Amino acid sequence: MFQPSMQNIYRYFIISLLITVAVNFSAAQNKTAGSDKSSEVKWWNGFLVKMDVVSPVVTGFSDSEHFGMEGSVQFNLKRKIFPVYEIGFGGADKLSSNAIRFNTNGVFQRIGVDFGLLKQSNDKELINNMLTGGVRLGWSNFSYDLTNLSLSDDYWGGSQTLNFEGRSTTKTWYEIVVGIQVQVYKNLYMGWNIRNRHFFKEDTSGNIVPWYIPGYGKSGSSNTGFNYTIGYHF
Amino acid sequence: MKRESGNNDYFNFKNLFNILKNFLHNNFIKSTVFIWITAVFFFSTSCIVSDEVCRKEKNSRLKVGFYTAILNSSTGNYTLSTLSIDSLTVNGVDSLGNIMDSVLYNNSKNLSSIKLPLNKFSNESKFIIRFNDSIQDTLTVFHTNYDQYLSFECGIIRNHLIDTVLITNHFVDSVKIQEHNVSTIDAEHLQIFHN
Repeated sequence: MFQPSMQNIYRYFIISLLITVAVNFSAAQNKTAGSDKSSEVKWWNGFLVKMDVVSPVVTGFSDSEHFGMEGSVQFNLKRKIFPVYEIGFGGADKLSSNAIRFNTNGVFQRIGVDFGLLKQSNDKELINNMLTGGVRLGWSNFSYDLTNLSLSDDYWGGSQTLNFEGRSTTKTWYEIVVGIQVQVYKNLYMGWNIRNRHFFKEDTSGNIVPWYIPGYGKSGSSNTGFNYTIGYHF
Repeated sequence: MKRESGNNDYFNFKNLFNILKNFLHNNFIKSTVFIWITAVFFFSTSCIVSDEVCRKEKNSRLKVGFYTAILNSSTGNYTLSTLSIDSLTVNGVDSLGNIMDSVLYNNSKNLSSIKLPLNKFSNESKFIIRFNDSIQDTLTVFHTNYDQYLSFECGIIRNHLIDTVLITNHFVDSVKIQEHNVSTIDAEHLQIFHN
């Protein structure tokens, strides 16, 4: 039986996104073969420094269960290709229902590229508004504590509490990003994006793993994130 | 035939896409609002799916099966068949040799296999098995213990690896280790034979 789980919804979302990108590229190729008008756009169109608004807001709502800050630099090449570098700080402090405590914080980085998905507008009002889709490669080297794990033997008797402190690890993942960016006033931009994150390598089951990963979020084979950015163009 | 219709579909799809693209282009603010709403929807639903309760099996038990070998007189070979014990009583014995207060199986009827808890804080677990309320044997399992992390919600459990098994021979003829790893995976670890 087909069950419309969240994972399925995301899958269709990504597939439709990929089709969108593919069709757009094929359309663009047809055009360049016909005329050379689009080559008038210059390569360097400055860069955008952006701050994420969502992570501090989520920090407030989650009662500091998890917290974060992030910013990014986005380069504008030909108004079509946007290489991005993102850097941030994130962490979590969480108590499970059976009193296990997880604590982490660390710096994360992501590099990637966005592509403009809409046809270039000649309208001066709309030229800096865009719909983008792209990918990111993210990594974070961080240390975490997992404490107060209890073990007890109901039949033979005895109990023990285990603490794992200062375990350091490096995680890498990729993200599929789709977003919108609008020029609000002169050099001021606003935008948002949704991102679907996946690990390159799954954790070996049975080993101690972090519950939360800076820059990735709650540990799991896939994860959805959301950013709302305010940017300034240089 | 099929390929042609596929091509047509592709062009229709492309037209549809172009219409959508033009719409997005001409109604940027409207579509922004629309995509905003879908984004908020996605975001809110992803928040609801937070599982905080452990739904995994947390007990790792030693499973022991009872067998008998039947001689096939025509071929001369032995065939293995499960043995159902009429009545079974099982008790743990602690390291000092005292019988544990709580009984694991108390006069249980018609069992062909039993599940026993191994000691999580010792490398030796000893059981007294009383067959049919008359004959009893002592089963001693030597094992090493290792920890398995399940999840943040479930925590950690302790599993076992069987080293050696000893058993007295009053009712039982022999014992065989079938699977060394005692974890939450359901498997038969020991086979006890009676002729």
